[in-house]
Amino acid sequence: MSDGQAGRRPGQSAHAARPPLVLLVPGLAALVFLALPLVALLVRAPWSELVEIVATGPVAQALWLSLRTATTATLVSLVLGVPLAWLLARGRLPGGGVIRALVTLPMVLPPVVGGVALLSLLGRRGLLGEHLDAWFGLTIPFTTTAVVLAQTFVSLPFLVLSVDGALRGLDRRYEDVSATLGASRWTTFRRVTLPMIAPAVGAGAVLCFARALGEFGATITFAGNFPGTTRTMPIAIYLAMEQSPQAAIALSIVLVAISALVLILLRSRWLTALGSTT
Amino acid sequence: MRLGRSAGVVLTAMLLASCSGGTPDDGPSDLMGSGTVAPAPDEITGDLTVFAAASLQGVFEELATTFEEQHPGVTVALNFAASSALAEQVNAGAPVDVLATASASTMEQAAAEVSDPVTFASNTLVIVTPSDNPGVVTGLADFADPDLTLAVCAVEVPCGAAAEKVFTAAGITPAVDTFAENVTATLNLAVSGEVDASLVYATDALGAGDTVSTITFPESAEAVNDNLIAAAAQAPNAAAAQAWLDLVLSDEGAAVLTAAGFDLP
Amino acid sequence: MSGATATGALEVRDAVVRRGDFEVTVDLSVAPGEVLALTGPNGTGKSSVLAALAGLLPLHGGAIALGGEVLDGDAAWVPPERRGVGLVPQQHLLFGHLSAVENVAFGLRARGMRRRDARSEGHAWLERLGLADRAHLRADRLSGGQSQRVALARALAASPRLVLLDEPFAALDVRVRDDVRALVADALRELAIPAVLVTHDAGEVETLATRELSLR
Repeated sequence: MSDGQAGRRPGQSAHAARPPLVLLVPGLAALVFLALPLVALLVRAPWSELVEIVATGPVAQALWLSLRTATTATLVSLVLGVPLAWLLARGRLPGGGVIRALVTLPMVLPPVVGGVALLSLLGRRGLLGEHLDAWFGLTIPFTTTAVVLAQTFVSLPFLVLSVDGALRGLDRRYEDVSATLGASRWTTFRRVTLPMIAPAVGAGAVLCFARALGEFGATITFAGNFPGTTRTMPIAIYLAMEQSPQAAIALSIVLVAISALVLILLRSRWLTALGSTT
Repeated sequence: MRLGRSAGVVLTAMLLASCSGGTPDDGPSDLMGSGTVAPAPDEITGDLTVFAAASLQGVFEELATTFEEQHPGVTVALNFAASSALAEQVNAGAPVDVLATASASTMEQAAAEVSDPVTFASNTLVIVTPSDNPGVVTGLADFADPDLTLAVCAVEVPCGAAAEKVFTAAGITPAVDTFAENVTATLNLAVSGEVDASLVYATDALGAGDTVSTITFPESAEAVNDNLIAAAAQAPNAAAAQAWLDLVLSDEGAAVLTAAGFDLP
Repeated sequence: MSGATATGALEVRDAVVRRGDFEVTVDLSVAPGEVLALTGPNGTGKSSVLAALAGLLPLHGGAIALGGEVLDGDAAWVPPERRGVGLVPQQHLLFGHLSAVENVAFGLRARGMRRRDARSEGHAWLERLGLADRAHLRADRLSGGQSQRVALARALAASPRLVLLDEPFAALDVRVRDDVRALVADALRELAIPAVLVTHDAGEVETLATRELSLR
């Protein structure tokens, strides 16, 4: 029984590494288009004052708040979004197409409108917020919770769509085999489905985090702007722009650098650890 | 009244403006700085582009209608935004004829691109509450109450800087819950009842009508906010720009400004 | 490597198997220790019949019973995870993110066996199939022949009351095929449970099956 070594995966062949010119040229154009504005930002940056601007307390405070809220929003999105994606892909919901469209709406909605929508629901005089205030003395606007809610509202769809797509593309026969082995549907989900869609969950979480980190419109509308509580980096940048565009650029560079670092770390880890399981 | 007219129209307007006759003493001023003379009012044609602070929207829209009646050959394009954003755009070479800002400092930002700014109106802060005043706010001292939900403009924008001044003058440490990004957002928080009180300009409060209750306070005199207007140094339609300035500074302009809640200088 | 818990015959009566526009009616019985070869041209519903037996495809009539228990039909329905019907699919369908031994132990763990016990049982199966040295390799790193043997061990380790083999040797190299086939024959004999084998190969019918049912 000497049936040789593990087979080479098709994606690794030398042939696939050579892109045709029709793809190469527009592809590179897209890369340049995405990268050049950032390069311009770097060129315009007040490098000599950068450290001075960034090292101030308020900036560190805004950055820390942004990282905390974006991480929380990503976790909330994972806990709620993966089950929703499963319902969309597998739940045989009546009107599934309509629900899927509904889920993507926050992506096309201007974020400010998202903020107004959240206020309409959870504001002090909102549909639900009115009762929260009257019964529990609970007001959500102008709190860090509101920041997380605003970020989750705009970033959750990214996770749901990513996971929904992966679930629909997944070979159902693996789950069938798991069932024949005596695994309950929950065990099958936990031990077979979830690990198999892990790369999509990871990619969705990365998108989700990036979107939450950059979130501005819904946050300032719903959560407001108070240092340490609700003033995230994008809000600090927007307000800095009012007075000193140079300072705003400096803050933007910090945000871009932090985002890039986080995204690179997360992506490389997920891609190497889980990328081969699909 | 919209932006984005074709360059050809603008060019034609410029040619008409610069080729029209008259002696140097006919026109009210020499905006082009090149010996060009503005024509008599009925000869003004072309497009007029006005950049104005968001707080001037109501007044300027009304004046634009008047202006187009007086000068049928002119189409007025109005662009409203935060003064600082407008100053940035003017500095970046936006084809603008007139810039009107909500503060002297924002006009100063565009100093190199405008000629001879003048103060044409001023604005003071007032307290607005939701119409039923749920927090029972009576004066500026209530802004120190941590139990109330309170909004002021962020200090980076003019109304926020003004708010900071009045608090300092009154010796109050405000217990603010949110620093809104502009005066409209600050007003809307009171209109929607999300806060118990906001500090906004008198003009904004007047514009909100019955949806808010307005409370004036003496310390507002410490932070009078001037509105400045100037023609752009490179105005594509200098003649129309000057005519717009004349209208804003006329008695007719003053009446519209006063009706909107502005004080006159 | 315990044998089947409750051995009993598979009884299929007038079972209407439908997938899309296609429909076939099956009538068969397989005694414990018997291997029924299900043959016939492509598209005659062999795999669909297996799916119905495994509980992945509900019947549109008739009944399936195993050891006297009705799995489908007569208003009864036992879901796949409670049928105890092992399936060795055509393309092994191993869980690529798990190691070989975790794949084999999967069914035992799913039924609540402790991790350590399930693993040692899994190791025993791999050793028996000549894969002891591959136990900790991720399943997606195994070769085709190794994968098919692990898939077999995975189905049999879960102590099924019925085992379904869907062309389990079709994807294998000729050199390996005979070895794996011999292993399957041994295992089935030992477990003494009914088995259904879908195949195109006349030689396979001869060496493995005790009876043949040809679908048309």
